Amino acid sequence: MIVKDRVGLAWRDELAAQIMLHLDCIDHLEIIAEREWSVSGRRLEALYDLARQVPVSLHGVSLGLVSSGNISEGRLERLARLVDSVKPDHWSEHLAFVRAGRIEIGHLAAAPYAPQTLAGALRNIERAREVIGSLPQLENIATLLTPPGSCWTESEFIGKVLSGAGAAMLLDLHNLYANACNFGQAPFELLDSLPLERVASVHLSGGHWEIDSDGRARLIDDHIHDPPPAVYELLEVLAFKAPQPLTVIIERDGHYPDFAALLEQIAKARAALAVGRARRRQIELRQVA
Amino acid sequence: MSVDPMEVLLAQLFASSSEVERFLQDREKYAGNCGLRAAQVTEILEIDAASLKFAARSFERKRGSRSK
Repeated sequence: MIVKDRVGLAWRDELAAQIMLHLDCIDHLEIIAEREWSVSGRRLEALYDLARQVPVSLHGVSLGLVSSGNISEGRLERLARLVDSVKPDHWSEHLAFVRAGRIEIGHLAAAPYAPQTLAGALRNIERAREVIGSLPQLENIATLLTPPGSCWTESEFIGKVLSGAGAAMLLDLHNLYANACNFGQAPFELLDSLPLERVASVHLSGGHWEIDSDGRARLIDDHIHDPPPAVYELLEVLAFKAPQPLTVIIERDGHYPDFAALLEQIAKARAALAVGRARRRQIELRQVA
Repeated sequence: MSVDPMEVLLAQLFASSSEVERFLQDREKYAGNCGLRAAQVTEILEIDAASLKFAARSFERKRGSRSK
Protein backbone atom coordinates (compact mmCIF):
# COMPACT_ATOMS: atom_id res chain seq x y z
CA MET A 1 0.00 0.00 0.00
CA ILE A 2 1.31 3.46 -0.89
CA VAL A 3 1.16 5.78 2.13
CA LYS A 4 0.48 9.47 1.47
CA ASP A 5 2.99 11.27 3.66
CA ARG A 6 3.36 15.04 3.69
CA VAL A 7 6.50 17.11 4.15
CA GLY A 8 6.45 20.80 4.91
CA LEU A 9 7.85 23.69 6.87
CA ALA A 10 7.24 25.72 9.97
CA TRP A 11 5.94 29.11 8.82
CA ARG A 12 8.15 32.03 9.77
CA ASP A 13 7.47 35.53 8.47
CA GLU A 14 11.14 35.80 7.43
CA LEU A 15 10.53 32.91 5.01
CA ALA A 16 7.06 33.96 3.84
CA ALA A 17 7.95 35.19 0.36
CA GLN A 18 9.99 32.10 -0.48
CA ILE A 19 7.36 29.78 0.98
CA MET A 20 4.68 31.34 -1.22
CA LEU A 21 6.95 31.03 -4.26
CA HIS A 22 7.55 27.33 -3.57
CA LEU A 23 4.16 26.14 -2.34
CA ASP A 24 4.27 23.41 -4.99
CA CYS A 25 7.15 21.79 -3.03
CA ILE A 26 5.54 22.19 0.38
CA ASP A 27 2.77 19.84 1.54
CA HIS A 28 2.10 21.39 4.93
CA LEU A 29 2.72 24.56 6.92
CA GLU A 30 2.84 24.85 10.69
CA ILE A 31 2.08 28.25 12.21
CA ILE A 32 2.95 29.28 15.78
CA ALA A 33 -0.44 30.06 17.30
CA GLU A 34 0.65 32.66 19.85
CA ARG A 35 2.19 34.87 17.14
CA GLU A 36 -1.26 35.18 15.55
CA TRP A 37 -3.31 35.92 18.68
CA SER A 38 -3.30 39.68 18.32
CA VAL A 39 -3.18 40.10 14.56
CA SER A 40 -5.52 42.11 12.35
CA GLY A 41 -8.64 40.72 10.70
CA ARG A 42 -6.84 41.07 7.40
CA ARG A 43 -4.01 38.83 8.58
CA LEU A 44 -6.55 36.26 9.83
CA GLU A 45 -8.22 36.28 6.42
CA ALA A 46 -4.83 35.71 4.80
CA LEU A 47 -4.16 32.77 7.13
CA TYR A 48 -7.60 31.36 6.33
CA ASP A 49 -6.83 31.67 2.60
CA LEU A 50 -3.40 30.09 3.09
CA ALA A 51 -5.01 27.14 4.89
CA ARG A 52 -7.22 26.61 1.82
CA GLN A 53 -4.13 26.41 -0.43
CA VAL A 54 -2.06 24.04 1.69
CA PRO A 55 -2.84 22.07 4.88
CA VAL A 56 -1.98 24.23 7.89
CA SER A 57 -1.58 23.34 11.56
CA LEU A 58 -1.58 25.78 14.46
CA HIS A 59 1.17 25.05 16.96
CA GLY A 60 0.78 26.25 20.55
CA VAL A 61 3.78 26.90 22.75
CA SER A 62 2.31 28.41 25.91
CA LEU A 63 -0.68 26.44 27.18
CA GLY A 64 1.41 24.31 29.54
CA LEU A 65 -0.95 21.35 29.29
CA VAL A 66 1.22 18.93 31.23
CA SER A 67 0.87 20.35 34.71
CA SER A 68 -0.89 19.43 37.93
CA GLY A 69 -2.42 22.92 37.80
CA ASN A 70 -5.18 24.16 35.52
CA ILE A 71 -4.45 25.82 32.20
CA SER A 72 -5.47 29.42 31.57
CA GLU A 73 -9.03 29.79 30.25
CA GLY A 74 -8.02 33.07 28.62
CA ARG A 75 -5.27 31.41 26.58
CA LEU A 76 -7.60 28.60 25.59
CA GLU A 77 -10.24 31.05 24.40
CA ARG A 78 -7.71 32.97 22.31
CA LEU A 79 -6.52 29.76 20.73
CA ALA A 80 -10.12 28.69 20.12
CA ARG A 81 -10.85 32.00 18.33
CA LEU A 82 -7.77 31.54 16.15
CA VAL A 83 -8.68 27.94 15.30
CA ASP A 84 -12.19 29.09 14.46
CA SER A 85 -10.83 31.84 12.17
CA VAL A 86 -8.15 29.86 10.34
CA LYS A 87 -9.83 26.43 10.30
CA PRO A 88 -6.55 24.51 10.28
CA ASP A 89 -6.04 20.85 9.49
CA HIS A 90 -5.24 20.32 13.19
CA TRP A 91 -3.58 22.00 16.16
CA SER A 92 -0.76 20.88 18.40
CA GLU A 93 0.87 21.65 21.74
CA HIS A 94 3.73 20.38 23.86
CA LEU A 95 3.93 17.76 26.57
CA ALA A 96 5.29 20.41 28.89
CA PHE A 97 4.56 22.91 31.62
CA VAL A 98 5.59 26.53 31.19
CA ARG A 99 4.44 28.12 34.46
CA ALA A 100 3.53 27.24 38.02
CA GLY A 101 1.24 29.63 39.81
CA ARG A 102 2.55 33.08 38.99
CA ILE A 103 6.01 31.92 37.98
CA GLU A 104 6.55 32.00 34.22
CA ILE A 105 9.44 29.83 33.03
CA GLY A 106 9.31 31.40 29.59
CA HIS A 107 9.99 28.11 27.86
CA LEU A 108 8.93 24.46 27.76
CA ALA A 109 9.88 22.34 30.77
CA ALA A 110 9.26 18.78 31.87
CA ALA A 111 7.08 18.31 34.96
CA PRO A 112 7.52 15.16 37.09
CA TYR A 113 6.51 12.00 35.22
CA ALA A 114 4.14 11.13 38.02
CA PRO A 115 0.42 10.46 38.71
CA GLN A 116 -0.43 14.02 39.81
CA THR A 117 1.02 15.43 36.57
CA LEU A 118 -0.76 12.79 34.50
CA ALA A 119 -4.09 13.58 36.16
CA GLY A 120 -3.59 17.30 35.56
CA ALA A 121 -2.51 16.76 31.95
CA LEU A 122 -5.57 14.63 31.16
CA ARG A 123 -7.85 17.19 32.79
CA ASN A 124 -6.21 20.05 30.87
CA ILE A 125 -6.26 18.25 27.52
CA GLU A 126 -9.92 17.41 27.95
CA ARG A 127 -10.69 21.04 28.81
CA ALA A 128 -8.78 22.13 25.70
CA ARG A 129 -10.81 19.72 23.60
CA GLU A 130 -14.05 21.12 25.04
CA VAL A 131 -13.10 24.73 24.34
CA ILE A 132 -11.32 24.31 20.99
CA GLY A 133 -13.44 21.50 19.63
CA SER A 134 -10.67 19.02 18.84
CA LEU A 135 -7.78 17.29 20.54
CA PRO A 136 -4.25 18.59 20.00
CA GLN A 137 -1.42 16.52 18.64
CA LEU A 138 1.04 16.38 21.54
CA GLU A 139 4.76 16.93 21.15
CA ASN A 140 7.64 15.46 23.19
CA ILE A 141 10.12 18.05 24.45
CA ALA A 142 13.88 18.18 24.97
CA THR A 143 14.93 18.25 28.60
CA LEU A 144 18.33 18.47 30.29
CA LEU A 145 17.08 17.12 33.59
CA THR A 146 14.92 14.15 34.53
CA PRO A 147 12.25 15.87 36.59
CA PRO A 148 12.64 14.98 40.29
CA GLY A 149 9.61 13.19 41.70
CA SER A 150 9.23 11.06 38.55
CA CYS A 151 8.09 7.47 38.95
CA TRP A 152 7.90 6.70 35.22
CA THR A 153 10.28 7.12 32.31
CA GLU A 154 9.55 9.88 29.81
CA SER A 155 8.32 7.29 27.28
CA GLU A 156 6.04 5.61 29.81
CA PHE A 157 4.63 8.98 30.79
CA ILE A 158 4.06 10.02 27.16
CA GLY A 159 2.31 6.71 26.50
CA LYS A 160 0.00 7.22 29.48
CA VAL A 161 -0.89 10.79 28.46
CA LEU A 162 -1.57 9.89 24.83
CA SER A 163 -3.63 6.79 25.58
CA GLY A 164 -5.50 8.49 28.44
CA ALA A 165 -6.36 11.48 26.27
CA GLY A 166 -6.87 9.51 23.08
CA ALA A 167 -4.57 12.00 21.37
CA ALA A 168 -2.11 11.68 18.50
CA MET A 169 1.57 12.42 18.86
CA LEU A 170 3.69 15.07 17.21
CA LEU A 171 7.06 13.37 17.48
CA ASP A 172 10.00 15.76 17.52
CA LEU A 173 12.88 13.58 16.38
CA HIS A 174 15.57 16.06 17.33
CA ASN A 175 14.14 16.36 20.85
CA LEU A 176 14.17 12.58 21.04
CA TYR A 177 17.74 12.48 19.73
CA ALA A 178 18.90 15.18 22.16
CA ASN A 179 17.33 13.41 25.14
CA ALA A 180 18.89 10.11 24.05
CA CYS A 181 22.34 11.73 23.74
CA ASN A 182 22.06 13.66 27.00
CA PHE A 183 20.84 10.72 29.06
CA GLY A 184 23.09 8.07 27.52
CA GLN A 185 20.33 6.16 25.72
CA ALA A 186 20.38 4.62 22.26
CA PRO A 187 18.21 6.85 20.01
CA PHE A 188 16.63 3.92 18.16
CA GLU A 189 15.75 2.20 21.45
CA LEU A 190 14.19 5.41 22.70
CA LEU A 191 12.19 5.63 19.47
CA ASP A 192 11.01 2.05 19.97
CA SER A 193 9.84 2.79 23.50
CA LEU A 194 7.33 5.39 22.27
CA PRO A 195 3.77 4.61 21.12
CA LEU A 196 4.65 4.90 17.43
CA GLU A 197 1.15 3.89 16.35
CA ARG A 198 -0.02 7.27 17.69
CA VAL A 199 2.45 9.40 15.73
CA ALA A 200 0.66 11.62 13.23
CA SER A 201 3.23 14.38 12.73
CA VAL A 202 6.99 14.75 13.02
CA HIS A 203 9.31 17.68 13.68
CA LEU A 204 12.83 17.78 12.27
CA SER A 205 15.25 20.39 13.54
CA GLY A 206 18.81 20.84 14.70
CA GLY A 207 20.93 21.88 17.64
CA HIS A 208 24.47 22.31 18.89
CA TRP A 209 26.80 20.71 21.43
CA GLU A 210 28.05 22.39 24.60
CA ILE A 211 30.15 21.22 27.53
CA ASP A 212 28.67 21.52 31.03
CA SER A 213 30.59 22.39 34.22
CA ASP A 214 31.31 18.69 34.81
CA GLY A 215 32.90 18.37 31.37
CA ARG A 216 29.99 16.43 29.84
CA ALA A 217 28.94 17.13 26.26
CA ARG A 218 25.28 18.19 26.01
CA LEU A 219 23.17 18.50 22.88
CA ILE A 220 21.01 21.62 22.95
CA ASP A 221 17.93 21.77 20.74
CA ASP A 222 18.06 25.27 19.23
CA HIS A 223 16.26 25.19 15.85
CA ILE A 224 18.99 27.31 14.28
CA HIS A 225 21.07 24.48 12.86
CA ASP A 226 20.34 21.92 10.16
CA PRO A 227 18.87 18.58 11.25
CA PRO A 228 21.79 16.16 11.78
CA PRO A 229 21.99 12.91 9.78
CA ALA A 230 20.77 10.91 12.84
CA VAL A 231 17.42 12.69 12.67
CA TYR A 232 16.86 11.57 9.07
CA GLU A 233 17.90 8.03 10.05
CA LEU A 234 15.31 8.09 12.83
CA LEU A 235 12.70 9.29 10.33
CA GLU A 236 13.58 6.41 8.02
CA VAL A 237 13.09 3.92 10.86
CA LEU A 238 9.85 5.60 11.91
CA ALA A 239 8.52 5.35 8.33
CA PHE A 240 9.42 1.66 8.40
CA LYS A 241 7.76 0.97 11.76
CA ALA A 242 4.68 3.23 11.63
CA PRO A 243 2.31 2.38 8.78
CA GLN A 244 0.06 5.44 9.12
CA PRO A 245 0.56 8.60 7.00
CA LEU A 246 2.98 11.09 8.56
CA THR A 247 3.14 14.86 8.29
CA VAL A 248 6.78 15.90 8.59
CA ILE A 249 7.65 19.52 9.39
CA ILE A 250 11.11 21.11 9.18
CA GLU A 251 11.48 23.63 12.01
CA ARG A 252 13.88 26.55 11.73
CA ASP A 253 13.80 29.56 14.04
CA GLY A 254 16.77 31.63 12.91
CA HIS A 255 20.16 31.75 11.14
CA TYR A 256 18.11 30.98 8.05
CA PRO A 257 20.04 29.38 5.23
CA ASP A 258 19.24 29.99 1.57
CA PHE A 259 15.75 28.73 0.87
CA ALA A 260 17.29 26.18 -1.49
CA ALA A 261 18.88 24.55 1.57
CA LEU A 262 15.48 24.26 3.27
CA LEU A 263 14.04 22.75 0.09
CA GLU A 264 16.92 20.30 0.15
CA GLN A 265 16.02 19.35 3.72
CA ILE A 266 12.44 18.74 2.58
CA ALA A 267 13.82 16.52 -0.19
CA LYS A 268 16.00 14.62 2.32
CA ALA A 269 12.97 14.04 4.53
CA ARG A 270 10.99 12.73 1.54
CA ALA A 271 13.89 10.43 0.67
CA ALA A 272 14.09 9.09 4.25
CA LEU A 273 10.34 8.44 4.25
CA ALA A 274 10.58 6.71 0.89
CA VAL A 275 13.35 4.39 2.07
CA GLY A 276 11.45 3.45 5.23
CA ARG A 277 8.19 2.91 3.33
CA ALA A 278 9.95 0.79 0.67
CA ARG A 279 11.51 -1.43 3.34
CA ARG A 280 8.12 -1.89 4.93
CA ARG A 281 6.48 -2.74 1.56
CA GLN A 282 9.16 -5.34 0.87
CA ILE A 283 8.43 -7.07 4.14
CA GLU A 284 4.66 -6.87 3.60
CA LEU A 285 5.05 -8.36 0.10
CA ARG A 286 7.20 -11.18 1.48
CA GLN A 287 4.53 -11.93 4.08
CA VAL A 288 1.81 -12.03 1.38
CA ALA A 289 3.96 -14.32 -0.81
CA MET B 1 -6.56 22.55 41.19
CA SER B 2 -3.53 23.69 43.16
CA VAL B 3 -0.14 23.21 41.58
CA ASP B 4 2.11 20.49 42.95
CA PRO B 5 4.87 22.11 45.07
CA MET B 6 7.53 20.23 43.07
CA GLU B 7 6.36 22.03 39.93
CA VAL B 8 6.56 25.35 41.76
CA LEU B 9 10.11 24.58 42.85
CA LEU B 10 11.15 23.54 39.35
CA ALA B 11 9.53 26.63 37.82
CA GLN B 12 11.45 28.88 40.23
CA LEU B 13 14.72 27.17 39.40
CA PHE B 14 14.13 27.18 35.63
CA ALA B 15 13.03 30.82 35.69
CA SER B 16 16.13 32.18 37.40
CA SER B 17 19.79 31.15 37.65
CA SER B 18 20.08 33.10 40.92
CA GLU B 19 17.34 30.89 42.38
CA VAL B 20 19.46 27.88 41.41
CA GLU B 21 22.37 29.29 43.43
CA ARG B 22 20.09 29.87 46.44
CA PHE B 23 18.70 26.35 46.09
CA LEU B 24 22.15 24.75 45.92
CA GLN B 25 23.26 26.60 49.07
CA ASP B 26 20.58 24.87 51.19
CA ARG B 27 18.33 22.48 49.30
CA GLU B 28 16.27 21.35 52.30
CA LYS B 29 15.47 24.87 53.46
CA TYR B 30 14.58 25.91 49.91
CA ALA B 31 12.35 22.86 49.51
CA GLY B 32 10.66 23.58 52.82
CA ASN B 33 9.89 27.12 51.69
CA CYS B 34 8.24 25.69 48.56
CA GLY B 35 6.08 23.36 50.68
CA LEU B 36 7.56 20.08 49.45
CA ARG B 37 6.57 16.90 51.25
CA ALA B 38 9.27 14.80 52.97
CA ALA B 39 9.45 12.29 50.10
CA GLN B 40 9.81 15.12 47.60
CA VAL B 41 12.64 16.65 49.62
CA THR B 42 14.54 13.38 49.29
CA GLU B 43 14.05 13.58 45.52
CA ILE B 44 15.45 17.08 45.19
CA LEU B 45 18.54 16.20 47.21
CA GLU B 46 19.49 13.95 44.31
CA ILE B 47 19.29 16.59 41.57
CA ASP B 48 22.63 16.79 39.78
CA ALA B 49 23.92 20.32 40.36
CA ALA B 50 25.79 20.60 37.05
CA SER B 51 22.72 19.52 35.08
CA LEU B 52 20.51 21.93 36.96
CA LYS B 53 22.85 24.88 36.39
CA PHE B 54 23.19 23.96 32.75
CA ALA B 55 19.41 23.65 32.34
CA ALA B 56 18.80 27.01 34.01
CA ARG B 57 21.37 28.70 31.75
CA SER B 58 19.80 27.06 28.72
CA PHE B 59 16.35 28.39 29.71
CA GLU B 60 17.84 31.84 30.22
CA ARG B 61 19.36 31.84 26.73
CA LYS B 62 16.15 30.56 25.14
CA ARG B 63 14.18 33.32 26.82
CA GLY B 64 16.77 35.84 25.65
CA SER B 65 16.75 34.69 22.05
CA ARG B 66 12.94 34.77 21.95
CA SER B 67 12.76 38.35 23.19
CA LYS B 68 15.07 39.64 20.42
